[in-house]
Amino acid sequence: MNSIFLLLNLLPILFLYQFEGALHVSLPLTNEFTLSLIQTPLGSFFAYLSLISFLLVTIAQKSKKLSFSYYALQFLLSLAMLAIVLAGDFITFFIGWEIMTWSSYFIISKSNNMNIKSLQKYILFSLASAFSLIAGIVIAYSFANSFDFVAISNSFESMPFNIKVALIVLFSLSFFTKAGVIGLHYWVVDTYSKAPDLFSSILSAVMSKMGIYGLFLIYGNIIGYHELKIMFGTMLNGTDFGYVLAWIGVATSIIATFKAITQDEVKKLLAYSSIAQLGYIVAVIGFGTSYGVAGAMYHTLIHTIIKLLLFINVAAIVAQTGKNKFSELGGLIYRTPVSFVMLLIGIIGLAGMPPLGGFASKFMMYNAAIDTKFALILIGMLFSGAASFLYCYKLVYGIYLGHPTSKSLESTKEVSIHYLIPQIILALLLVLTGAFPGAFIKVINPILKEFSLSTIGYDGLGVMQSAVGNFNGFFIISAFVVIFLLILLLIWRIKSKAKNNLNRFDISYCGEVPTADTSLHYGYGFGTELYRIKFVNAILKRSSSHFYESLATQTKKTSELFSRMYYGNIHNTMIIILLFFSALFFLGVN
Amino acid sequence: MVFQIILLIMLAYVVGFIYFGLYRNITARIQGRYRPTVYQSFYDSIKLFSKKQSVSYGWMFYLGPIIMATGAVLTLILVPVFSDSDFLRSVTSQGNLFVLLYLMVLGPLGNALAVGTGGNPFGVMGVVRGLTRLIGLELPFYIAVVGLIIAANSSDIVHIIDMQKIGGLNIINHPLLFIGAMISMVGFFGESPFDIPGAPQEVYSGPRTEFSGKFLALLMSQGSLFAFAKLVLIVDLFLGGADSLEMLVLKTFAIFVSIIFIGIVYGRYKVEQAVDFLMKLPTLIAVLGLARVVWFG
Repeated sequence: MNSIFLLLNLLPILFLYQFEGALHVSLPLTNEFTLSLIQTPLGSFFAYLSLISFLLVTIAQKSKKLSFSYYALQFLLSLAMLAIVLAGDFITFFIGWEIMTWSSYFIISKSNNMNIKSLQKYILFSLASAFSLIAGIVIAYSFANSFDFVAISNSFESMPFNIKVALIVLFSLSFFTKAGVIGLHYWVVDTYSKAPDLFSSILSAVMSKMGIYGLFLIYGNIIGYHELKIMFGTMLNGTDFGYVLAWIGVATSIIATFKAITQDEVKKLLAYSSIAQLGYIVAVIGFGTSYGVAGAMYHTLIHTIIKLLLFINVAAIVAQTGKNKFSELGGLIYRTPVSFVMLLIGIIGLAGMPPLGGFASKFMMYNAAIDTKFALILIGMLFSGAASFLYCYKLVYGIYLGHPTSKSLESTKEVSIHYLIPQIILALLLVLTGAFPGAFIKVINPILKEFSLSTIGYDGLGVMQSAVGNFNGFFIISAFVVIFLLILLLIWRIKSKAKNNLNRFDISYCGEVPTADTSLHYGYGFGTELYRIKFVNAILKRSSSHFYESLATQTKKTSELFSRMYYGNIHNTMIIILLFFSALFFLGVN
Repeated sequence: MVFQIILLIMLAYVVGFIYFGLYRNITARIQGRYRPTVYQSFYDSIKLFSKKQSVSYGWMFYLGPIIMATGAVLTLILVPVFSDSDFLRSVTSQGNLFVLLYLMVLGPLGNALAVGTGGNPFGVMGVVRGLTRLIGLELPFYIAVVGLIIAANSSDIVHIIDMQKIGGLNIINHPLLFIGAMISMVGFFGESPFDIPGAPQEVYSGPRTEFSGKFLALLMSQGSLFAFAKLVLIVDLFLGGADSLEMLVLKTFAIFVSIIFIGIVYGRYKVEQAVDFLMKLPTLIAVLGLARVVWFG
């Protein structure tokens, strides 16, 4: 079963063998509506991203016994995402969007951990996103008389200003919900943490990116960055619009970072980290400069790689140990060494450390902020990056380092090879994206042309050029490796034997000897210091759940009020409602 | 080039250790007690390199200090030491300030892995306190660095040095940014009031608790290299770099002594107090400096 769907996943590559223009299908439904698929550089970037992600996750799924319906739904989901990113008009886009929502909903509902409340959260937010999207589409249609992207783009300039703003707000809200911008992220954490372990990687790595694709489509393609500049005016070297969006993104990333640190459940930490990383992308996506777009693109790629790697890694550990909390894990480093190294590479990327791809993308985004002179935005991003070291360390320490928290962990074996293959591929990708940032600029330049922005320079494959300085990824990574090996050799040569420590309790412990009952794993206590810092505490004690829960209570009360009017006879109630509306109608006419 | 790098590392090693010796010396004088010789740190280092370690916790435990030393050496060779000569110019031009900002944290994070592997809760406590402190500590420094980058419109350090030759030193042009960066530097040098991660009376010596023998010696050596690199970085950013060895020693020593003098007179903050403090006054000072750069050029 797995192999069949693995092959099926490879199928779309036949139609997407080029980066641009390999696919151009249009299917007229009626005289007015045409469904069309067009391959643009932007679309193919996201199409490849989703295709490769699905492929790797399917490899990992070989280690599990999954039903035919599961695979079929997942395949449907991958096709829906292709329809979204290759759509040439809003009808195709919306069909893809709806299929994506429903197929993922059914897959998530198959999870054992899932409860009805979290499912309802997911579907409600997905529906809200879809309604907001369809409202935008209908308004755009009423002015352009077409669903075609090009036609809407052409007539956008002549629309009234308030309609333009309404369109931007509606589309943005819809895509923000998918990407999980703060305030609209209420569904993200629950869904990511309770979905089937391997499917969480799809949710975080690919599905959230559909929101990002939507934002690119709206801001870059349909409205156009140039038009946004004209509409809202400029600020420093960027646009007013970009500045507001940047604050939304930075707030998202800072708040989600602190929330992530205090989580005890591994997948919840990853979910919050996913929100935080997408916050970076949202922050730079509106800048309207080449570096802003390139930074957002680069980070989209890096985040997809990292989150696939980390979620697959965690899924493997959960499958192997049956535990999913930091307070229940620990000390697995020498029991699952390959997994440890893979997670290590993942968190080095997540923290944005220099030798790997995570730094290249962050460097690009920071440059974008310098370029537009949005200094405070840049500080916010750097600040959130510094705080993210804490959750990165928690992730690796809580699972692999320290002491095992229970006897059963001491006999854990290395995870299955099917989990490891995709992780190794992804880790290699992360190294390559760090070593050859210039190669990625090559990919991104056609997209910049599509947005009619100026292209970015590169010097060979290793060097990324920017307005305020170059980054030679290849030099940094090779210098790092050479110095590391030299020091290793030097230290190796200095002869000094150590007794092999067989007993893990042989540590300095205030002159006492810890026993098996002494709690030595510090994973649980991580992040408690944060509650004592006033600024962070102010963030941590607030939660969007208060707002949504009170909204739910209010809605319930309102519906109770309406239900009182209903006294058992449907005909009478309907007549009363009819009379009420006719009265309103006549009043309105007069 | 390789010869120059080796020369630079040796210079940093010697200067770093002499500064560390002086630090112990000066501290003892101020506190009115007997002092060690200036060369005491050399003796310690050589002694430790020849001693055997007491325990082993597997390969990751050994890799930590090596990653940390790699980070320190890489930082060192990417910071332009002499502003005028071609000394290592081809290497330093490969890096920029953003790379350095992150490289400065790479080492401690690598070592944190080894500390975690050692399984000593005090070591991890030190690491976590250090990372929590970093939330506040980086803020004024980041703001200062961003201010300088925007002022020079380049993240290339050589360019920032060149700009100071034409337009005057940054310490005079951007005093608020300098104050912000210096307050952060006190913490980066592990001085009071921000010496939280290795607080001796609270968490043993924090991250270093379990290390012994050549690995402790390696940690000490990289510490001196790294301290030198940080001093040179501050000199490059705010004091216009150094043309000769004498100027380099003079300027770095001036920065170093001012950091020690701040450190000696204060007691230690708790981690939350440190972050609270750093987020208020130093951040405010640095933000004012930044606003001046962004809005008034």
